[in-house]
Amino acid sequence: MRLAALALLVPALAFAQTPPDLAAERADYTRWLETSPGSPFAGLYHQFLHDDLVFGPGGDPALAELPPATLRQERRRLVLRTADGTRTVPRNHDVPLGGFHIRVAGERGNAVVTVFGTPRDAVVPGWYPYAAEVVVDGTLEPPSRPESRRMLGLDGVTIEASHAGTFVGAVAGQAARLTVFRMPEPGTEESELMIFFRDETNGRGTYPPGRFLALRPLGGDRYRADFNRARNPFCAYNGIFPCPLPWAGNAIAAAIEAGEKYVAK
Amino acid sequence: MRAAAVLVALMLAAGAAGAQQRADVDGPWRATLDLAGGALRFHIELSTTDGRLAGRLCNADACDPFSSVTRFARDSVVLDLADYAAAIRARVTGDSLVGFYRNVGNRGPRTIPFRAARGAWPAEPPVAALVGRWDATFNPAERPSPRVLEFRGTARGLEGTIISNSGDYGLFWGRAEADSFSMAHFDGSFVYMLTGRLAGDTLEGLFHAGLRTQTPFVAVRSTGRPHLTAPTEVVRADTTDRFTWAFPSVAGKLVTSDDPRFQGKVVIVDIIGTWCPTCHDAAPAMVDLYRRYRDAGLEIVGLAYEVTGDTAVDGALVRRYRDKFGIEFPLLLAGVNDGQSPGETQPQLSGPIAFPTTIFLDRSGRVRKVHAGFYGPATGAAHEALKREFVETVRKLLAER
Repeated sequence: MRLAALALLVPALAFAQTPPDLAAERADYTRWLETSPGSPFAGLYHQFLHDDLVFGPGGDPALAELPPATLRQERRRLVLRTADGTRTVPRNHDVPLGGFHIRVAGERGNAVVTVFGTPRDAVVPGWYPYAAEVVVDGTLEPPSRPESRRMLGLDGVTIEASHAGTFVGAVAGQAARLTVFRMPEPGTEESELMIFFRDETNGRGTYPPGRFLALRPLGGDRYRADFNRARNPFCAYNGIFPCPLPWAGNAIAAAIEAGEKYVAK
Repeated sequence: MRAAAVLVALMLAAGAAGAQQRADVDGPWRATLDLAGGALRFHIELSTTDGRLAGRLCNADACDPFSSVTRFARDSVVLDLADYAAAIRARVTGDSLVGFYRNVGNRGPRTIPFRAARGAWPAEPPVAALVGRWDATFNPAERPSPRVLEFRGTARGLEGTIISNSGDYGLFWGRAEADSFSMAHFDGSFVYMLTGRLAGDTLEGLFHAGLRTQTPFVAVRSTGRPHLTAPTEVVRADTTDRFTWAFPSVAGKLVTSDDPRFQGKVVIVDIIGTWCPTCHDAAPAMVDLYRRYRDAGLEIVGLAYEVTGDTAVDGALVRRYRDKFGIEFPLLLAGVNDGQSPGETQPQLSGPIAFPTTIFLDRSGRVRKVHAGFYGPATGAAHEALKREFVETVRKLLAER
C-alpha cells in the first residue's frame, strides 16, 4: 500500500518540476505529430523532384496507392495534372490529392516533394525529466565575417542559413562554445537561432546524429539555451526524411540528459 | 471526522454551484502576448448577442472579428482565427484570461503565452520627438534592407506603421516613455512588435516577429529624399502591346481582355490575394473607384493568386473576400502565390510582383502605370494621398479619347 502510494508520488513529483508552459508545449507537439495530416508521422515519400513525378499505379512504387497524377516542373512553375484537370502547386503548402497531401518545399531547382498519408502508428516522443541545471544563459558572439551555408533543417529540407555566431555558456559545468545558425521560416519574417549539437547521450538514449535547440533572446547579446527543449530532427520519427549532418565543433563532452529522447520502434 | 465530512460536502456544493455559473467574459480586455523581447499589447472585445458569444481583436481602432468564440468546460474560452489556422485558448479566472496563442507551421505548432485583464490599456501621450517619418535600415550588419517608419500621435497614444518596398505592415499601436517606445501589430496571423529608443538623432531598436525572432534596425529622420524604391518603379510593364489576360472567374467562366466589357474602357487590373492583409486594406479604395467611375467608362478586374491551387478552396476564399468588401467587378482565379507563379502568368510584367499590384490600362488596353503595394489606412496621410493619386490617374485616362 505504502509502496503503491510512493509509485504514484514519484512520477508526480518529477512531472511537477516541468514548467507548465513546457509541459503544454510538449503535449501540443505530440498531439500534432499524432493527428496532423502534415505531421512527419504521416510522411510516405520525400524526394528531390528531378523529372516528372508519377503518382498512382505505374508510377513510383512508393506512391502506387495515390490517385493517378503527374507533378512536373514547367520552367519555374510546378504543375500537377490529375484526372480532374491541371493546377499550379504552391510551395510550402499542403495540397490535397485524393486522401493524401503533397507538399513541395526547398529552393528553386532543388524542389523537394513530400507526400503525406494517414498518420501511422509511430512512437510518440519521450522526454527526460526536467533538469533545471541545463537551462543555460550565455552570450552570442557575432561571427568574424558574414557567412551563409546551405544545410538541412529539422524537416530534412535544404535551406540557406546564415551564421549567427557562437553561443558561449557553461553547459554541464564546463565552458562551451556552440555554433549558431539563423534558419529562416519560409514565407514569414521569422527565423530561429538554431544549434544542432551532439552529446554523450547520442545513441544511448537520444537520437544518434544529434538534436536541435532554438535559442531564446534575453536582451542585448544574452541568450538562453534550454536543453530541456532539445528536439529530434524529423528523421528520428520516420526514415523517409534525410538526416542533417552534425555541425563541426558542436559536440558537448558530457551527457545532456534533458529534452527529447530517442524511442526506436 | 464529521467536521471533515461537512467541509467536503460544502466544497462539493460550492463546486456544483460554480459549474452552473460561468464567469461572464463580455466586455473589453487588455491583452498581452509575451514575446521573448517583451510584452506585445493589443485589445480584445467580447460580447454576447442573443446568447451567442462573439469577439474582435483590435490594434488601436482597427478591429477584426474572431471567426468564432466558444466557451467550454466551466472556465475555458477559445477565440478562433480560422483564416490563419490559429486560435487563442485561455482559462477564465475571475478577471483574467491566461493561456496561449497558437498557430501551426510545417514543422509543428507554435505557441506564444497570452494573458488578458479586464478593461482597456491606458492611452499614453506619445513623445513628440518620435512623431514623424523615419528612414530605417533593417538588419544593417547582416543583410541591410530599407523600411520607412511612420509615427503619429493620436488620442489613443503612439500609432504608425512600417512601410517596405511592397507595402505596409498594418497599423501599429503602442506607447512611448521618455526616449523609448514600444508598438505592435497583431492581426491573428502576423505577430509584429517594434521597440527602440531615440539616441541623439538616431532611432535604434528591434523588430520582433513571432515569439523570438529579433531583427535590429537603425533609422534617421526622413530627409524627403526617396528611401524606398518608388511604388511605380518596382514592377515594370511592357507598354508596346495591349495588356492581356485570360483566367476563370469564381463562377468558372473564362474572362479575358478580349471580352466586350473591357473594350474602349479604362481598365484597372488589380493583382491580389485573399491571404494578403495589404490587399484587404486596398479593396475599399477599388470598390469606391468602381462605384464612382464605372458609368464614366472604368472597368476593374481582380486577379487573385491564392494559396492552394484547388479551385473549390480558392474559389470559396475569393467569394468570401468579394462579399466582405461588396466587390462588384470580376475576381478571377489567376493562380497560386508561391513567389514565382504571378511572374509566370504575367509575361508582360517584370520585377518582383508585389501584393497588391495595381495596373492602369488606357482605353487602347496599354499599360500606363503600375503601382506596387498599397499604403493602407495605417499610413495616414500617405493613404489619403495614394487614394487621390489613383482617382487622378483614372480621371486623366478617362479624359483621353
